[in-house]
Amino acid sequence: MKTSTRVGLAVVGLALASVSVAAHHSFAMFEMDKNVEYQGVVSEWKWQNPHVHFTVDIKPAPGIDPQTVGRWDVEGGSVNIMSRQGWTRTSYKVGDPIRLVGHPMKDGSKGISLFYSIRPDGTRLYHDIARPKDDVKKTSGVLP
Amino acid sequence: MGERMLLAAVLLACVSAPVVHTQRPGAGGARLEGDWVRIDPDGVGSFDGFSGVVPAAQLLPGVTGGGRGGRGRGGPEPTGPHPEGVPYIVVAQPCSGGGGGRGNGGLLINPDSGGVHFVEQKDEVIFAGERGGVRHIYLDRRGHPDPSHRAPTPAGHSIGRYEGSTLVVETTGFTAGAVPGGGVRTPETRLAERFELSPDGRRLTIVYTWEDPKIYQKPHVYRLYFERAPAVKSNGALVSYALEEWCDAGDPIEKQSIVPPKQTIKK
Repeated sequence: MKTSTRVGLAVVGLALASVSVAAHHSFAMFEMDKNVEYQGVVSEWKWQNPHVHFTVDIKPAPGIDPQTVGRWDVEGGSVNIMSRQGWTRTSYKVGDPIRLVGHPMKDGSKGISLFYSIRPDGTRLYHDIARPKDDVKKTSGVLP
Repeated sequence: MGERMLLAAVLLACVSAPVVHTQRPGAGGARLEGDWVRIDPDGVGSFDGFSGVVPAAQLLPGVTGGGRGGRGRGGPEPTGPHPEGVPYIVVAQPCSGGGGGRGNGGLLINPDSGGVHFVEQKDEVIFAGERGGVRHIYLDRRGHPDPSHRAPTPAGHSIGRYEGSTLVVETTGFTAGAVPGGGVRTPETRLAERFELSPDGRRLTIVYTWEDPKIYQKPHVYRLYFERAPAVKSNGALVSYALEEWCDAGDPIEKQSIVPPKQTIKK
């Protein structure tokens, strides 16, 4: 192989290897500054990369915001990211009640970017490292 | 006797010779080696909030900035109601993202907690991102290559040295792109990074300083914060399995986001 070819391949390889991943996709479609609480039942559970997804059925009931009624697709982070926040493959299963806070879609579609779920004891399972100021925590370095 | 004197003189010369300074990873005690994840000590509240903690770059008049976007900003804005059961395809190149840190927190670092891994060697630090990509930070006192011999890359060309336990890195040779805080970069732009370890080795602060007299009124400086990746027990030891994700550009699901479900809920 000619030296020039080797150099060229090296440059190409370096360029490819150096490419960073900004995010799996844009989050421009969500109202990231708006936090809405949803309360329903898990109807589908997908523990998968690049984003964990689950659907939640919300039925009309006292105390339930009518605008949240319906079936929602909830998007979380990657399995690695959510695991580091304490999530597991069995955190929820189909049929489990769930209470969560998320960022709704700008266009009104039934989609949510997960912020955190609220467990029965009131503690939160966050999607990722972002925290509201009233709940700034530093990771312990050991999974809960 | 003469030989002994000569031998002693040689030994003395060896002992008193100037010490050749070699780069030694983590010479200050704590080591960068291992897995790290970003944290949110400021309580920014959302991915968009992370862009808010980066101060705005002070650009020279006439320089067009890179925007103040947060995580993944720059994708197409949704227009009108989206049909049920049809996935949102939000970016064309999910794995290349903005390329080399464009629009996010820094080279190979995401605005989410995607991990980073450091391997420290005598002459090089290898810096790998959880979702692929690697940077080589050379410690062997080499300089930057002649720009005429090297094509710009998203990660640029990095050389470094240790100041105690702090790794100090200088990078240049970037492809043109955006920088957090509304800044921009060109192949001539220089980035200084300080990887500062806490005394106990558990916290990491990366201080970024972008400098380019053709772009910035003053150096553009911001900080990102990390802790050791959470560990799990394995065979009596605490280990991290965190850094094994890979973004596959050929996988259609990588481009997919929300799928608005069909509505079957009856009132």
